[in-house]
Amino acid sequence: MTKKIARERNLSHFVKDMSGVASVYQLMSLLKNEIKAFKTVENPLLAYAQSQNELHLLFYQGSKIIKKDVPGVWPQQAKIRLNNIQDSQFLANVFGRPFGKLLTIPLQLKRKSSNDQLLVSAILFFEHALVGDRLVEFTEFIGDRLQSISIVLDRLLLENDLNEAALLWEQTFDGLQDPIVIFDSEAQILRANKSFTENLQNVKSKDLFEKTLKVNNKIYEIRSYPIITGENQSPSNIINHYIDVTLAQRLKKQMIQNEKMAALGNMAGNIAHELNNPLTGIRSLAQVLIRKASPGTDIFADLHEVEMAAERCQVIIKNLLEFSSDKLENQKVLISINDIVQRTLPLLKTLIFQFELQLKLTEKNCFVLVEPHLMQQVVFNIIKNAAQAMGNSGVLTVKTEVYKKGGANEVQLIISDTGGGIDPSIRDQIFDFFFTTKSTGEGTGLGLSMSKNIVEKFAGNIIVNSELNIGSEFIITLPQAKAAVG
Amino acid sequence: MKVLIVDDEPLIRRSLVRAFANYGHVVFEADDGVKGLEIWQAEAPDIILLDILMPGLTGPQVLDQIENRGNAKIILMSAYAGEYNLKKANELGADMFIPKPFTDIFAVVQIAENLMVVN
Repeated sequence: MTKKIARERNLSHFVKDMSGVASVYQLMSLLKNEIKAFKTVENPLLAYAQSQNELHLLFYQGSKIIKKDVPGVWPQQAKIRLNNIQDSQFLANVFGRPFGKLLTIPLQLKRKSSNDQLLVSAILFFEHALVGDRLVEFTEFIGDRLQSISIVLDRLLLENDLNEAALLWEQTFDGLQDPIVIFDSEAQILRANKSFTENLQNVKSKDLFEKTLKVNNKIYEIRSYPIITGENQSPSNIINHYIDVTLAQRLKKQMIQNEKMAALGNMAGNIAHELNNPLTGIRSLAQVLIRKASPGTDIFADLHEVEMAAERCQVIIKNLLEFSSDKLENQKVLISINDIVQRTLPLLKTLIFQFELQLKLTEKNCFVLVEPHLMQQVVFNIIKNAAQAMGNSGVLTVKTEVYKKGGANEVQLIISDTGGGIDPSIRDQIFDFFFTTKSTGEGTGLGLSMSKNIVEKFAGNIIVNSELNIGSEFIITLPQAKAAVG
Repeated sequence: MKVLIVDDEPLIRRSLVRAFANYGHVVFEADDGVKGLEIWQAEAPDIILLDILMPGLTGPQVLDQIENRGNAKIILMSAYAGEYNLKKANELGADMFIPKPFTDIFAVVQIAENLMVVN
């Protein structure tokens, strides 16, 4: 009687201890402790299924618990067995040593692994040297505890699954590039992903429910998705997705700008052609009349003015026509940017002689695919601007360089001056059509806008850095072209 | 010399007429190809300045219909210098090509006079 009570007491202790177990390792060590009384029983071995052809094996190496993933055929019999040859062979294969007497105890788990065909989802192995009553006693001892062990293992594996699922969910949630928030029905934030924390953490909560959101130069479109879980129709949660449309908007803006430019170019071309004839007439007739007028008279001077004005118009129209023409685009050739610079500088002699010219041309391959005359026009325009910005003296630097960007190389032409700089208030406008700070006759407001357009035609870009009273630098970047070898 | 100017643009005609007349040449003008051909037959000019793009007959069409050209010189003019050039003008049977717009009207007169001298 007392024996039975003791047995019950021990068992309830074990069950209680087991309920606090938080990992399979703890389970192992508890089990090891529990069977200490059976001196000839080795430390337990626990195997549980991962799939039909793989399982996790936990065993002791000295006092350490080792977890090993073992490929191989899973012993599938569901009954308790003693000295089963298949089981011994299975373990012998895993550990590379013969196994002695072996007690195999399958555990029936409720948890279904991804493979439902498994008859047995976990097994306890005990290597032992027990005989007779002692063996029966041990089998009963383990049998008493079997249900508790199964329940705990079930729970641990389920928790493990849940943790993995939670981790996967969290990683997915945080991995999304757009900010995403889950609100409760009171519009309080329940969960926010990493992108939200990084980008929208400090946004006022009422702004989080607008249609669009502008934060730190980024534009977000907001989509709200209510989650209705219960029977009643009001949502229990709201998911807000903040779609980063910054790039899309910029591209759209650029597209509209490009279309505008194309339309403008087209129109400019037509107008230019229409204006050409009357303008030529005006200039030619002025030239004819000047010959008839006596030098020194008002009529002579006035006619001269008319002729000059007509000439100016012709130059503008010529530029416009070149600019709107598509034909030149197809005359791209391989040429080094240094060559373009060298060809252009002589044309600027009279404009830049009073400045200190610093020419720093790269020796690397700086070939680009452009239409040389258009590119020369760009260089001409920008150097002319630099000269005009400096007035009587200053340092004009013309530099070429080759940079690696991504997998490709880029060729840069940097033209900098020590002039007055560009006022920040107009810096955004300098590439606009007909924008000029120069007085009438000095500039048409086409130079930079055309330069930008030309560079973009050759897949490049042009940017400006400028500081008031220090100077400006224009950086033209073009894709490097492979120079023909030999 | 006798100069015929065929161009549909009045201001171009006018300035060319003035410039040539300034140098003492006899100038005829026509605002289209048909009239141009009539004057050609009636006056037998030494040189024709012929616009390429005109309503009705184009410059090359006019050129095609000129008979008994003799030593007369023909200059084609066009604002579409991209599509026309001296080589093309020569192929069409003209002696010279002058792109429009003119930057110096007297240079045009000079070119025409030079053509006559060469002969």
